[in-house]
Amino acid sequence: MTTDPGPALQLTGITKRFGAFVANDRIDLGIAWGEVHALLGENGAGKTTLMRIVTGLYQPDEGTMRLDGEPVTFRRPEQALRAGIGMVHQHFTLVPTLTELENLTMAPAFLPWANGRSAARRKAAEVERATGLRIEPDRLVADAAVGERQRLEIVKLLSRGARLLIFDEPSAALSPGEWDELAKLMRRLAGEGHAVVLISHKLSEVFAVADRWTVLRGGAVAGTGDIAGTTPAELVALMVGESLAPRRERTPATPGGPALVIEGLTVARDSGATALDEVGLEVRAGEIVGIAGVAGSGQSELVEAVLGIRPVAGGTIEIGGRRLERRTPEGFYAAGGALIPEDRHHVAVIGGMSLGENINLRALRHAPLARRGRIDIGAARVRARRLIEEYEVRATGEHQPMARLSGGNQQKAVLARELSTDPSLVIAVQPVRGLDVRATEFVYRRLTEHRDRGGAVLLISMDLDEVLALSDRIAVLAHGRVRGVLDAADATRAGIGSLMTSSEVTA
Amino acid sequence: MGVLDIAFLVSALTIAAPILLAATGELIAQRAGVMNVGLEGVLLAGAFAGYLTMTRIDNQALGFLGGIAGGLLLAALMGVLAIEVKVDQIVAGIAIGVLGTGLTSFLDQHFVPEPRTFTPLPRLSVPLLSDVPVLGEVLFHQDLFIYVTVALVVLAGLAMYRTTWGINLAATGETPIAADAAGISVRGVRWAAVLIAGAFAGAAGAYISIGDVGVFREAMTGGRGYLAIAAVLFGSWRLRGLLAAVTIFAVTDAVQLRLQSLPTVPGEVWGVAALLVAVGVARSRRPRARLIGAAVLLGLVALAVLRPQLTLPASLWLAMPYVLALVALAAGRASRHRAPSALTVPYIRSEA
Repeated sequence: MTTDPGPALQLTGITKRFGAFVANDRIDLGIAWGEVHALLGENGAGKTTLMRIVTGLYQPDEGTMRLDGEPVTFRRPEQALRAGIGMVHQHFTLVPTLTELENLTMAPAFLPWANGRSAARRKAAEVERATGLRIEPDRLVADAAVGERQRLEIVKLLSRGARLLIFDEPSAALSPGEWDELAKLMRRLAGEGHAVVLISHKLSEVFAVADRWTVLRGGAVAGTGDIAGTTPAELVALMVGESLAPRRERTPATPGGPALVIEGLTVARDSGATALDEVGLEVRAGEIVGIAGVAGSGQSELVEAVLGIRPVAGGTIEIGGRRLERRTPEGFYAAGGALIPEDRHHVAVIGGMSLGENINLRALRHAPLARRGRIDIGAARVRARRLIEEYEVRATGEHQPMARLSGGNQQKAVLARELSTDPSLVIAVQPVRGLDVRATEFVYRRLTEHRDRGGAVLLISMDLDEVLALSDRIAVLAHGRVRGVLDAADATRAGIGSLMTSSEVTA
Repeated sequence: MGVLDIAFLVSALTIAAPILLAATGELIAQRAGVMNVGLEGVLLAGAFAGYLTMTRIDNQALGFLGGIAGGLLLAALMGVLAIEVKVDQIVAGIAIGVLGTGLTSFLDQHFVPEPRTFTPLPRLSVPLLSDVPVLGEVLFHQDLFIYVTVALVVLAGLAMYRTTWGINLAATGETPIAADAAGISVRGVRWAAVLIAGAFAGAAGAYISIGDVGVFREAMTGGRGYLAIAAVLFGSWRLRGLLAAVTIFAVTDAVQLRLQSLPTVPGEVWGVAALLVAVGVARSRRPRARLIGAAVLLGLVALAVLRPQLTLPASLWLAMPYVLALVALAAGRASRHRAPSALTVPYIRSEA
């Protein structure tokens, strides 16, 4: 494009209300061609609403949008797309049962009888020439890895002529390697004159790729500026509106007896390939053991095997010194286990049930909630209210449907449910995925407190910073094997990184 | 040739055609995410509307158009309930089914108190091809509806698998949010699919009444709508599977029609049943199922050899295609995951 990046998208005084709630309050935002613009803010700061307005999913109540100086209004997403604004959603908008090519072909059909496959193939080839992004046209999307799906999503937008691309939390599902690739791609797209908007919680990512930043707080713009002239601390302060107390100095762990002992665990993937190969692992009471590894190294199979929902080919699992013979989820919980699952929406909570019901779900079988086979409704209500307060769940009351809560408050409710049963072992999988700074801090604090009370925590995360920040010991998992166990004090990013990518597989 | 002669094959085709047309329409609707379990009612609406048109204007082309209009009417009701009001599709479908049955018999008594009979569709011979022995008689000496059905099924197959519209259709039934994000109107695709299904079922119903026999009777579709839905499921939501399922149902139906009229069970029946069980045993992987299958097979072979003079009640034969549909659905349990993910799930954008 041009050497002088002109204004691409200019928002002026955008306001959006939902009833009495003001989601966006007179927002001014300018995005230039050729820049990577980071949009920051806590959950509920109004980022998503604003981007939904930009992409035509919502109409603003007030304010104007100008694209290349021309006033524009989008009533439907396809109008924004036709104007060149595309969004890579956190949850990909792909059809898993169709091939990659068919996903590109999918489009409003002007001539119902046309077959757009060959045209889509040509466009994909054009995009590949321009950006180097390669897809596998005839592969089913269901067979593609997360990073590959994201790439397809980007190709889809580019092949439809998107010039302004919005990435919503793009690293949430990616391994560190995939994120590096994406970061490079964002820079390349900006270099070619595209405009890139990056919505992220992670300041390290923002500082790695962005040129400029805008922080939203409580629906309004809290500040905007160049990345070059700012510091992470400054942005965090703008996001939360007050300076958070620095992370508490970690007391050294005082590990007790073994809480979880895994020996020689061998587990197969759904495809039959080996997921875990003779894995040995020990988590003692009063320590947090983090598992580092790129996505798909066997983490989910490990969790499923311990939980008892995946058959094992060999090996033993002991919780609290007792060997789990007939492995079932019931046995796992009865042995003192607790789980904070990775997939909040589908596994951890029941959206259609109330907050109170979700919180009490694991306590219903035993006294004091169960009385001669019946649930003591009064005791359940009291318990739910106590936990809602104790875990700072923000809700209108225990009757509020779980699905209406924000992601952060849902996760707090999950923590309340799992930690309130005084488990000897907590398995936490990506516990802060998609959470804002404050909620993240809360989860970290609660897990650490649980450790200090003598509980054991097995933390599984794709985010190396998180593993490093929280763990007392770190086990590195790669290609289904434990490549090494390090003390957190001696661990370095580089050291773990090389173990993570180490491979005996030569192919 | 006993039971399985040319007339038998012709009757199997006549039975298959309306089920096939209705099932193809239902497949399109289900691929878009709308399941109409009241298809039976839509068929009946088509059957009665076609008949009613014929009693007023004695013209078969207009009769079929009337049938299509009747099918469209009930399908549109389903569309309003499922797509616009977003009520539970199973409940809405049951309502449509009951409504179709009740309304047609009520309107029949009210508007056509004196039952009338019309000439069925004439058979047309395709020149040259109809002279081929057996095959010509069965395939190329049929009425127009059967030829049109074949053409429509081919067109539907092309539309589903060879056009952008077909991709949009699959996306709408599988991941409507993805279709929406691509700028496809989920509502538009679902409406189109539901109306196509209604038109197909309406025409199929009209064939059952005025096309095939020339009369209308209360609930005369006799569960063909349910067979069509079963065929979609059994065929794993693919056209090829659907063709196989409809063939099996139609042949069974034709067999039972023939057997009803025979005094005793002919030996061939045992032979064919033995053959089917043998295929099942060969394809089964579970040892216990194979053991049971082998025992049944032995019994059937014995019957085929001994040819005892057995008589079975006609109602048992009548039930045969439906029993088979049940068995097929139970056996097809493993293929359930091929159902479109958003089948019967209304699309609400803000929740996505």
